[in-house]
Amino acid sequence: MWENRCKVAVSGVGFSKVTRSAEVPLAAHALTAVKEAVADSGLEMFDIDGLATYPELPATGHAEVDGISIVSVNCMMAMLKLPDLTWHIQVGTTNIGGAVQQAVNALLAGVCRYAVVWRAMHNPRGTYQNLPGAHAQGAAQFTAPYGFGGPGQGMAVAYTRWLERHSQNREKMATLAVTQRRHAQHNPHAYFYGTPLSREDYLNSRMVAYPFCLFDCDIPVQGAVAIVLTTAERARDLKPRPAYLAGYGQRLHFEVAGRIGSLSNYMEGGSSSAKLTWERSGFAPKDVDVAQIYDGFSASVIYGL
Amino acid sequence: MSDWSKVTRPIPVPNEWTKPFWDAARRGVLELQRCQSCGYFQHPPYATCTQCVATDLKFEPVRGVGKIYAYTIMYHTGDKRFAAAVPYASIIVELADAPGALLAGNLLEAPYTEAKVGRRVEVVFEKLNDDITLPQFRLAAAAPA
Repeated sequence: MWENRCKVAVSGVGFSKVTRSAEVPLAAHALTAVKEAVADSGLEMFDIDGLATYPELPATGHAEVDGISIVSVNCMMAMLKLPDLTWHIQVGTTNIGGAVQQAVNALLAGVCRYAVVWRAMHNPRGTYQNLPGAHAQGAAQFTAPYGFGGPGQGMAVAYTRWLERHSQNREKMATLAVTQRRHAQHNPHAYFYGTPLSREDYLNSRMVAYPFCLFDCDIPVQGAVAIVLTTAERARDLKPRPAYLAGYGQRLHFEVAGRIGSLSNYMEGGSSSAKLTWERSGFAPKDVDVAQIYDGFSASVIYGL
Repeated sequence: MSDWSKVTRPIPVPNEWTKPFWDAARRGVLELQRCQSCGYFQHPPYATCTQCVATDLKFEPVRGVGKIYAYTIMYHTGDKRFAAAVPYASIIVELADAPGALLAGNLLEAPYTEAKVGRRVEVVFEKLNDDITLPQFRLAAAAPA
């Protein structure tokens, strides 16, 4: 079991409004989320001394413009002008989970007291996967000429392999899509709050990249979420009941860029990182009441489970 | 059948590591990078062997027969270059001579509904221009006895 189990806690969360397209710059969404998270903790902004994020735009072929399509630590600091920022990081890989892990590590190392981590997502104008034109360079030279463009197709191939190797049918995924949407009806922050989805809606929806239909794919939106992390000791003095971090687990399954579709890598990645998390936290699947498994494409849940 | 006649495929841009693959394809041959130390075939090409880290890598010819490892059928017409061919099958092939090396391709000369995991395929070569010929795949005949 991890010696730092439950020594760090989430003390607040904040959400911006989530819109389909940019009505205000992304920086405004990120600022709202951060302000709400700090207020939710019962802290003042000047208490914050740690900042972390993963400033990546998941859409292909669009420029990264700070404040518009991404929100870097620089951008956040320009807005907040924190008087005593003692720690910050911007992770390039490992996604937002990596930024959270780094904040946890920084707090345990005692180099900051209250860290804010945000994720700001931009929906660019025009075609989301703005695929490059006449040439395919780098890793794409082995995939783009065959019509492999955005991440959907790369994830679709592994799902097809899983379905056929396990003699499953894609219609069963309706249960996940419908259940997730039903849960969204209890969350006023959710984009689809007020928009239910029926089994028939899922089964009748148009195919995008088989086996993915429309409702196997997430919807690009504009919005931001932020959390405040601090040590368990400090969290106990704050307003809300803390959410203690029992452990985290991360693995790397090396993949040469351009090598797509390896189902075994997804499965191994999911199970090995899960195993590490269970070992560190001292919990087991049977202890879990609520599971939020990444479902950018529905099949990702299989790898997480 | 998917109509490929109006598709404008993006042209691969070979680099130092990938040039031997494209030179061989232009000659109608499939060659993959092989580690001379441990014998592992890998694709796409890389600076080192991804199994044993050796840098003694050479391209060796492989037979263009294999199986469909995975596939997807594209229905979305968002990518204008490929919209005319929708629906079409984009496949991932594992070659018999190089287990672990996964090649992307399309399933040609067959309806997209014929794409199934495990189906045997064989390579065909599709000339794009004087510099680049694309390895592609079609269903293979039954295995010899």
